[in-house]
Amino acid sequence: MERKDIITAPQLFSLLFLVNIIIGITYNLPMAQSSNMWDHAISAAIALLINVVYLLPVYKLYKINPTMSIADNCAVNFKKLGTVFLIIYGVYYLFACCYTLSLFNIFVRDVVNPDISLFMLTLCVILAASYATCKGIEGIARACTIILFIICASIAFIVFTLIPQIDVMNFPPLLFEGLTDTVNGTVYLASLSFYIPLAAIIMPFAKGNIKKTLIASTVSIYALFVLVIAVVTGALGDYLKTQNFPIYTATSVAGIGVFKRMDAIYLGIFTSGLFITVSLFLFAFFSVMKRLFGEGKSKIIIFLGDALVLILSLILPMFKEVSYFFYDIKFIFMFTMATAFVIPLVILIKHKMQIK
Amino acid sequence: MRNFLNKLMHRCKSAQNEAQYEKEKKQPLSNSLEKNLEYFKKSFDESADLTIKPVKILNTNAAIITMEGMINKETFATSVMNPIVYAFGEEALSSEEKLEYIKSNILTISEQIDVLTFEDAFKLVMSGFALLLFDECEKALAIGVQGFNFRSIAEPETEVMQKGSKEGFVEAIRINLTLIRRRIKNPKLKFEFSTVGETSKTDICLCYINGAVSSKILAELKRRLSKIDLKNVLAAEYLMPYLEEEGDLSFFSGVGYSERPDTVCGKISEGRIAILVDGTPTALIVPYLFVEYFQTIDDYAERPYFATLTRWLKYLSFLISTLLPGLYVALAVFNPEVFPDRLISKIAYAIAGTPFPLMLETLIIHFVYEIMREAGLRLPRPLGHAVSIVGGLVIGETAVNAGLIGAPTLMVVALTAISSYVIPNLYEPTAILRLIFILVGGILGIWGVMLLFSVLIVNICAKSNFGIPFVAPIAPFNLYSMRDVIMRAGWKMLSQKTENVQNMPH
Repeated sequence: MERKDIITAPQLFSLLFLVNIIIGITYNLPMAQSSNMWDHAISAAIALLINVVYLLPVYKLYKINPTMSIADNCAVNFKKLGTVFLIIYGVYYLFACCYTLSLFNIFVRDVVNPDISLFMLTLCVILAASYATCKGIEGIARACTIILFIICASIAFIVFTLIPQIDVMNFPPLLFEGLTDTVNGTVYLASLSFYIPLAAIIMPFAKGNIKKTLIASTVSIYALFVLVIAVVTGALGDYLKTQNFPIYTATSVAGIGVFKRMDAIYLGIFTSGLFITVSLFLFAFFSVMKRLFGEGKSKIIIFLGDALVLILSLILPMFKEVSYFFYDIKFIFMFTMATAFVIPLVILIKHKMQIK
Repeated sequence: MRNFLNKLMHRCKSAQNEAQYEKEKKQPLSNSLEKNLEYFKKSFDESADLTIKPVKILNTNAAIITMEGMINKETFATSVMNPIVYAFGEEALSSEEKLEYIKSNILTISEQIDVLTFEDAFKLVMSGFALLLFDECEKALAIGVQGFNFRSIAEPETEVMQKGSKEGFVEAIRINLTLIRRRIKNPKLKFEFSTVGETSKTDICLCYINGAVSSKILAELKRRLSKIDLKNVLAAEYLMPYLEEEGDLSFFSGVGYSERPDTVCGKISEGRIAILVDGTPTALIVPYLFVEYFQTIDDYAERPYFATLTRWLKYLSFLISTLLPGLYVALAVFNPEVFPDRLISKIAYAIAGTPFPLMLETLIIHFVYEIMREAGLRLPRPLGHAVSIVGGLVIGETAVNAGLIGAPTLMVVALTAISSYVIPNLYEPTAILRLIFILVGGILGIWGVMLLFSVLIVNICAKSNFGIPFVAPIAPFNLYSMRDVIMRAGWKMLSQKTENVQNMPH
């Protein structure tokens, strides 16, 4: 296999960082089964360590053969089991699409525009993301750099406007209510590490220092997360406990001088980032399907995948029974651990055994 | 059926004739002057502008063929006719030797080309050369006496600059070459001629600096030019789609154009290739980057801090001209809460007083504006002013007073229209995009606008031309290049290193 070398390491960083920002922006306390956001600062530090451990087998596999993605590794190292692994990855990438899109739908329906056509909106997001997928990782990565720059500038501005509203009284002592919040927060944050299975697919396209890029993106996202937790907790206090989308709530109360209603910026960040995130997961899904069915059939499969994402992301906010399972952090945690850590580890062990 | 067969036969016959004509055209000149002249007459079908002057030179029958209006008559009379008619020398020479004698000893014009085939003969005669044919000679001599009327060099109306040169390209390609050569007095500056257009045989000229240009890009450009299958090339813009990447459906073009020789020279010195097309006062520039749409020659003549400010104004104008109407519709319809209280009350009052939904109202005003713009462009200038008055005062003010359209909407459209003229080269894509943004904003609100904006970014970012990313040096990012992107650094910094386009990160 030839090296593809079509995106740079900074572009890879921006892709992983942006995906994390968008998943992090939907952060909510009910899903984390927690009531104390401030304790999640400790959870973020623990989740950072878990992610570093998760990254080890993925990176080792990359080092062994930098031209092979996780899909290639599954297919090359195993036969039938490889197909099972590929199916797991395909389902995982679709799940990641549905998860982000359905949360977006819930946000639009419950918080911002109850009267907007969710079907049309979701359809447009999927069509746009499919278009970006067709344009290839190169186009997505370049666009991501620009969008990330805008998003970072917006976040910096929002944080700046929230700082005057921080009240020290809003910070409870750490671990005041025991370890439960921290443990739940850790599981929640670790379960949202969608970027690791994604990195396993797009790393072979990148040139540059991948090790530094992975570490930088992991550390940056948790550093940003701790900063946001600190600012939002300080600004909102107990009001946080009643909010499904606390970061959005914080932006809507933020304001400095003539600059008010920062929630408009949040809407912009969410949409642009969501588009890139969904297109990346669709790209990853496409790569897996290509490995599974070949180039020709994978195009039809991706069309079916699009339809499935559309249906699931529209249905999920409607039926509580389905969504309880879908948004269960223990399930997401296990699924993420399997794709980010367990399967790469199994492949790595098999590879080492073959060498011996 | 019979008609169809007749048509088919006729088509086959004309195709055969054309093939026969093409074959004959490539044939060498005949030994007989009479046959040669006969062939010329037949090929031009006794066209009124073909002039054949039979003369006797050194006691041999000869003829001079020219095209009416394509030659400088004074030069032709003093430098060609007079010397050759009164030429004397050894009459025992063969016709070919006589032709050589005339060429070397009699004619004072430096531009002389030996012609061996009818194809070359036609091309040179139609380019303003005088063709000297001798009897019993299979060779002819093309003498450069070109001279035709052309528009004088003036400042291009579409690229008016405050500072810098007031010269613009004209329709005559040779004049345009001198405009470039006068600015780059470097032997490495190369002009390379070729023709495009099966019927029009239009001259085009590639201009580049050897050493600065990438050989890969040059070879690719020549390959793409050779693939052009147009019959007629009447303007440089005809070539633009052929110079883009195959299957490129982007709104923005990776081929730039300019009517200013100073702009073109600047681009050439950065490793780009300019394509001059005979009959068009515009030079095409490849490869062209997105950021270059925001750079004008005035930027480099002004103080850096002011040039930086104007550069940012251009970026802002581009965003306003593309996004503002769509954002206005989206926010006013779906998220009015983001407007300040006083503003939203005025907008709500205006919307309530008009009969159309806001999206439709904005679209209508835009269409009316585009119609007036088209009318203003095509009409003679005095009438164009009248259209502006009718459009601005009568339609605009009366419609607002009559309660047909809202004043805020009219203001938004007016601001958008003015902003779109800050970067005139981007007018076409922005005009289309803003209509799409209005539609999407009216249907999907801020979500749709942001989504479409993101798609637009991907569309621009995924585009490459000649292997150079269209959005370089922004993505892939190059910090050093930012000195002429997010700011316009002073000349001391800019001149430290010339950045050739092929060295952009990719």
